[in-house]
Amino acid sequence: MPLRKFVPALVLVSSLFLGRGAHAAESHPAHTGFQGSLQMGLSYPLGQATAAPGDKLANRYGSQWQPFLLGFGAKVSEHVYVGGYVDATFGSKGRDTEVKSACRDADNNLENDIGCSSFTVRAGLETRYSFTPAQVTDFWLGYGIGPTLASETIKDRVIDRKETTQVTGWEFVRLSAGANFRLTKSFGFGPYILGSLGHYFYETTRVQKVTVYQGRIEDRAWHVWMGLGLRLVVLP
Amino acid sequence: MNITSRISLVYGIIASAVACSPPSSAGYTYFALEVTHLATDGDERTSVDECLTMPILLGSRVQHTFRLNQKARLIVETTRDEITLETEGEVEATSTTWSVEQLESQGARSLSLEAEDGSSYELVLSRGCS
Repeated sequence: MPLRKFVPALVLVSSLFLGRGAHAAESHPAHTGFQGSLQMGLSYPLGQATAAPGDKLANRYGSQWQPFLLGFGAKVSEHVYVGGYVDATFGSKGRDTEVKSACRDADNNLENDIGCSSFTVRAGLETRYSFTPAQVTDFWLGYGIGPTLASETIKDRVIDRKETTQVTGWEFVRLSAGANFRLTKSFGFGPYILGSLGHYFYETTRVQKVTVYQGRIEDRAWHVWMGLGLRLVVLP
Repeated sequence: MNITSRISLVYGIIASAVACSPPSSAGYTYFALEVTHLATDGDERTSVDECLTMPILLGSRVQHTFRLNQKARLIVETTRDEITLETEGEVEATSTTWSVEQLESQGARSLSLEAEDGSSYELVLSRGCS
């Protein structure tokens, strides 16, 4: 789903819960101890994959659907959460015209002969600060850091060739913000936005399943993945 | 023509159109790499005869290593935009890069390399593989 179509839906859902928060008769006490979360949303690539001319992140990867982002950790105080995260996103090819042209299935044999896809994986550590942990509506800010991987693949079924290029690196600054509507003592729910700034350091190319190149990226550049979506919190 | 005949005709046209359509491929670019060893006694022998499939994705890089003799290797690195040739061992050192655009317009490029034993290697990179 394009990002711009997703935003009105997010605003609508958020406003419904904001309304509930404002009129809630009671709030739940702030929680400490285990906390888990599940986030779902979209992420969009910005910046450069490498400093090579034309190697924009959006040329390699399309907008990504994030079916899950799992967070697990503990609220070490009423305001501070510390934990880990793991997430995966899936999407299509980027905006590069040569790849777009190669991925176009130009025949009419009703079979998808050329498949193009991309995905990303991340894991790391994060901390969040809750501004109003005992209120029904709790706003928070987060910071995280961790390794990341991004992959793009073209699979040509006609000549039975599969080419995959992966980059791995680190997200040094993973900033997030959101609201948590603490609906019950056990569950909370709310929107979030996320921006992660990082570098890719290594690249690997595989043809079929054989690694045909592996090495450091010499011309590194900054990239950003921007995301937004909805977050379900266990023991908010 | 009744309705059943018309439907059969439409299905027939669609089926024949689908059946006649060849499946489309991603449109890879191929280059033939041939290296000939010219011995000091005049003897000629093909050392390398390979078809290189150029990568298609932005950022893809493929590295091939070919043995020219017991003590010399040719390393060919391809991206979708260029081909780089490097040597290792007892052969004239080179690091040559040819762009795919250049190769496609000229059809072929060649390079001569001297080995330490006095023999030489003639390298030809040409568009397409037979």
